[in-house]
Amino acid sequence: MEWLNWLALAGIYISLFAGTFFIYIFLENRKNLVLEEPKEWPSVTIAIPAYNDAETVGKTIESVLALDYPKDKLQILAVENNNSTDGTYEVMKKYADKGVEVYTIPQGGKGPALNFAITKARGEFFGGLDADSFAEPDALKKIVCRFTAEDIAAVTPALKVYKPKNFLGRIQQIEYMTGVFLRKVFDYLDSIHVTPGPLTVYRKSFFDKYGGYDEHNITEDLEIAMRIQSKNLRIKNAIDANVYADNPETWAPLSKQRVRWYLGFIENIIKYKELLHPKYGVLAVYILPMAFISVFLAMLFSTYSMYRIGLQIVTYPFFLRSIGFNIVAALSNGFSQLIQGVPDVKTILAIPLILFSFTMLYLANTHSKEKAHVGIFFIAYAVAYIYIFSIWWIMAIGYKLFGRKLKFGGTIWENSLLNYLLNRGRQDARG
Amino acid sequence: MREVSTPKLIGIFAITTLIFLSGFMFARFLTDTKLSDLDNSINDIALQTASVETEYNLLLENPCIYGGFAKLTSSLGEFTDKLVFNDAQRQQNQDKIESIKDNYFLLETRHWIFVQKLNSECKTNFTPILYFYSDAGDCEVCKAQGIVLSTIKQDHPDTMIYSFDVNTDYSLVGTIKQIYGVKAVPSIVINDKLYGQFMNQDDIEKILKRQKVNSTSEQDNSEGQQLNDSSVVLNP
Repeated sequence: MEWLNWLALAGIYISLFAGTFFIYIFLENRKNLVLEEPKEWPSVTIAIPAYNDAETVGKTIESVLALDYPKDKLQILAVENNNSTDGTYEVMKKYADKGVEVYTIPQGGKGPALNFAITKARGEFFGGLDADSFAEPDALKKIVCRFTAEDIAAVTPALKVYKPKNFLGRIQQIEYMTGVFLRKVFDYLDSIHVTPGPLTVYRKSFFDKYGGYDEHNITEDLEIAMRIQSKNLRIKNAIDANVYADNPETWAPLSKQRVRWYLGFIENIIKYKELLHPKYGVLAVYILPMAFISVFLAMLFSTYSMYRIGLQIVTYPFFLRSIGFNIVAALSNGFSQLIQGVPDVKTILAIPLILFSFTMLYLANTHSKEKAHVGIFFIAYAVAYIYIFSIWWIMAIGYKLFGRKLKFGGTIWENSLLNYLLNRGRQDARG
Repeated sequence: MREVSTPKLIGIFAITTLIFLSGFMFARFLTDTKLSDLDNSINDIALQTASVETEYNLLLENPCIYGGFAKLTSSLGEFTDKLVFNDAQRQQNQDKIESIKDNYFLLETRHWIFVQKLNSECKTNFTPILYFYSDAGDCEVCKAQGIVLSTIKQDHPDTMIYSFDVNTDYSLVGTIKQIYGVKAVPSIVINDKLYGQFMNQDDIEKILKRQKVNSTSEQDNSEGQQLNDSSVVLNP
């Protein structure tokens, strides 16, 4: 297993490099985090697409109404779609007299609802806010401030988890806070390749020129970000504009969400493979390849360690039986091995890696004015996350290879390798 | 800023490499410290062994009043716990570790011979157990066997465990293996008898008990003999 050792060391070097690189870029650029407000605020349209969101849509609309932004410059659209059965439309209509324009369309999906909203939008800027998310009052101003040049087509917020309730929630909190940090670093490197649904604000002229949301794409927010990059326009990030998403905190819906995201990443990377051309700079030669390398490293780490742990679990009862279930002796032996053994280089190098993750979280926390602080247990969550992340990726790759049909909201996905081969086989038979 | 300037990249590479190499150097430092620590203790044990043996030889009149033996025994016992290395360390420091282990096997052998001498000349009742193991990854049960033997040692302070790595090139260990015909790991030799398989605690306890019964009955027999002899003398 000599090669595995070398691979692990290479993985550690790659991770150390990423940590050093990202923290360096963040620290180098953080001076220009605060921007001056414009003399006159531009007009903005915020669209809230909703389908069976009666419970949360009210809170979302209220958070938009509460935004600290000149009222005459803010147009609010609420679009119910796909004939919700839980009274979403009725909840929305209550806000009509507060200036919210309420619509209902029969088609399903967030894409069609947002595209419909674009046709009704009067603002210079356009942003969507999912009906299960809400924004802090100063978020919109902070986002709009970031449109400092004509070639900036979109600005993303700091997307966070609102008051996580359980283990999966807390894992996502760490993940999102790391995301807050990374998105700012990617901003500095002009390499943001995801513009999350909740309150990313776009220059509306982009839609007029290059079309609206891709309604057949399972991750329309990834598609649009990659489209912006492919047109050589820029995406910026407002790290202090806090937007909270109400994320699934149970296994099944969360996994479905992740399979959709990761499948969407594969699909859109294939669609926009030109982004891997070196002319796209850091995005092409480092950020996108690194996304794949990190998936590979996470899968390698989790499968190998699971294999080792699994082997221990299987053999441990036999081991205990051979020592006559003398657990005290087994424990004292393990303890003695632990103190007598000298840590190897991989264990030692885990220390800077943990310090780097902690620094990233710390920087994200302080610069986005996060109130909830992650405790020392973040290491446990981070390690658990690597395993869960790998499982989701294995699921997504499995679907990409052998899946038949998946339904995400109103969008149907059938784009697997198996389906492709079967269809070609059928065509050959016909031909 | 879709480009990062070359000097900046070189700087980041340099910092990464520096951290990476410091990790290696720190690991090296820890291993070296441990090896020199082992070296010191093995030298110390060698000195103790030589003193005990010399003292024994010096006291020709009454060799069974020997000092330092208990301390030597416990030093040897503690040393075996310290021989913990992972694969990478073992590979990188093969020669050094081999030499420390060979030294240790030599000292164990000298202790074992000494104990046999004590048993025959000073009527002590030590039970030497020779244990042959392998840490080359080909002996799944060796860890369990090691734990069983330490438990035995705890329960029966009179037993003396001598462990030998069968993979060593050291000729002394080769000779001992040859004497008892050791072919497999784990193997145990109790009272000159080879058991070439894993032995659990009960197995070993039984052997020890049987041996105790034998030795006491031998003693009884010899005392009876003496009585008979004296009776012969008393009744000519």
